[in-house]
Amino acid sequence: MSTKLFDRKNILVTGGAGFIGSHLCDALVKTANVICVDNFSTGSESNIDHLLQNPAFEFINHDIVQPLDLLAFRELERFQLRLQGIQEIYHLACPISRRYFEEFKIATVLANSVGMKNVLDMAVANQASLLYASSSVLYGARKPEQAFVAETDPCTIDHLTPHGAYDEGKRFSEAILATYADVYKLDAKIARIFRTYGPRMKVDDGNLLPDMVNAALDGRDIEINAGEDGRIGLCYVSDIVDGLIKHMNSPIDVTVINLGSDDDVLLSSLADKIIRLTSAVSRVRFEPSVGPLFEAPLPNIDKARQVLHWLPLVRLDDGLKRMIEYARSHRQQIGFGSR
Amino acid sequence: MPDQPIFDKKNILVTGGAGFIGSHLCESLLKEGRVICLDNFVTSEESNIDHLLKNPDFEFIRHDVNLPFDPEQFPELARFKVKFQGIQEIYHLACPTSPKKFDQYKMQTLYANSLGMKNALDLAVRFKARMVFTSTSTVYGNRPADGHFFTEDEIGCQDILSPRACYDEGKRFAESSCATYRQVHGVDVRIARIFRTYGPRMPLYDGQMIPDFITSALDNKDLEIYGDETFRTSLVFVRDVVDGLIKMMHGSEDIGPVNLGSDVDLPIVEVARRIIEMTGSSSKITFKPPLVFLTQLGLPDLVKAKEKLGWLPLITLDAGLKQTIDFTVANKSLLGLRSLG
Repeated sequence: MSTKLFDRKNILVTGGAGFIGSHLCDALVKTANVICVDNFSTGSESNIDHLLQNPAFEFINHDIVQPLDLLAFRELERFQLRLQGIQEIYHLACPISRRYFEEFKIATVLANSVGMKNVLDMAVANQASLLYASSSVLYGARKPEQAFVAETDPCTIDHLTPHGAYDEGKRFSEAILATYADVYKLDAKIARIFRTYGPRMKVDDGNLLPDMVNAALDGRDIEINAGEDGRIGLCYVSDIVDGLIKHMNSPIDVTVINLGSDDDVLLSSLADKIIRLTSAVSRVRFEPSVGPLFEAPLPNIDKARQVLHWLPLVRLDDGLKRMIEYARSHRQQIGFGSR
Repeated sequence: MPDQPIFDKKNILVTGGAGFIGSHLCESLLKEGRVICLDNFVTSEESNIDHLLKNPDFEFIRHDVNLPFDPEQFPELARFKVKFQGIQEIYHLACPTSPKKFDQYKMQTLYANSLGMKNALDLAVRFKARMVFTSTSTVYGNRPADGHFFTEDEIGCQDILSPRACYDEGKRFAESSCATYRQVHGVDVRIARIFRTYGPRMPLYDGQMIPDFITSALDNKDLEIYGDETFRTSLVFVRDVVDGLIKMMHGSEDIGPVNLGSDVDLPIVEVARRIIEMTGSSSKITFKPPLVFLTQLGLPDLVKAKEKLGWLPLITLDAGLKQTIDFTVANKSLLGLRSLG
């Protein structure tokens, strides 16, 4: 909505208790009312605990695969949904777990079809702007001749692999969004998010960075399963959140945008940094990889730069420091909370 | 449920059974089992199955596959003893296909490829039924510039956000759903990628070209091609496709997706000329702007279908066109009426 009729926008965030979602809620709640929907399939209550007392924040425990009628929730009355409706929807809900991927396969298929449909139906009913958190997996693996991928590059992936539920699911979600935008003239946007790191990232879930940080804090060796020249692009979560909000507020003709860091970091130097920042006694150990190596492409972020005036700003050292601080202070809880 | 039915006849569910391919499939399947035909007539016709309604082994149920289907709730299926015997085979064809009214059915196309697919797969899980899903050659993307034939392991490249995405990407997602249900629930589901098909009962005046060519030729009107002289396509006769689908159902397990189509590349102008010749018509050929949903498709590599299923298209273009023309002549007054509706 371009004209400001209300003091605060009503914003719905699905998957709001997840890693990125909870940081997004943190940012949005400063100026808007935030309705956070999550079913904790891979999100965590501890991510939003600190928001629950905030009068501009309300949490609804709900699986987005089931239709959601927000008017039925008495706790949302203070947001005056009947009168004001919902102005913006950030749709992040989708199970994401490296370690428990198998367990969530069908849920992933459903989130990327029925869930997507339910959220878009809400956007249509409210004439809300919608931003869908898509993924860099659409671009497939990094090509030797081309490290960077732009929004207009073809997305070629095998949709019948054991990972098809997620990879093809994300593609189909984009297709659903495009169809709805076309048929109902929605302001619908797609952010293709590249590898993101920061506090509240799941530990014990096969995620590279938390595993490295934990190893360092334990004084264990840091294992790298990608050879000595393995590389990675890493964007700090607050930068991604900033990009998502800028994208939501961009003109209607802006649809797909890459958000991520285009800075290639050697895994070995990343490990060295973590060891230095934690003052750990750990060493870096290179292990042969299990299965084929997957190196993700880097985003071409020219479009985000030009259209959103967005750039990743947080330096890797600073981001890592914050992540390490968080890991230190939450280690016990995290250890307790992880499955 | 044992793999080999202990019953006199299998129960076979065909979704989209009143459609062009579906109705021919129902006809063939009645030779080997009882057929429950589901359709909601979005882009299909009741007249396609009229001749089957009297067959005691055939039952039609008007139902939208996007809604869950419980066969036990239908008293008309009592004689198929579904409660006791279950369902042994599912052919899942239901999905709107209409080049001309493509825009009108976009949302339903999305739903068919997600909700409909899920409902069909859930039925397969529930009844431990074997399943064939009819996918499409468009999962490979556009006709390749280098003219190579699509093999089943080609990953495919297409625009996720194109105006056709609800169909093209939808079918890819439906295939992924099949793969995921196989991985998680062990559903024995086979994927047929069907290339451009023609034959009797193809909808008229819907941009499908062949049926319109024939009616126009019979009326001595111009034959309209959506595109120009360079428009090329392969064409497989519907009975060949039906034969391929049944072979897939009976084939050995887990051979992955299989192409069903013709690998003979034809300029559409030649097909139009042949129809004019065969009908002894005085029509001429004119060219119209291309339709979004009617693209020059690529061609299938048929090695897998041949080696794994012993399948090849057998019906020649002339023989197929003759049957289609004969059907059109026999049903012309009826078809004309239908097109007005």
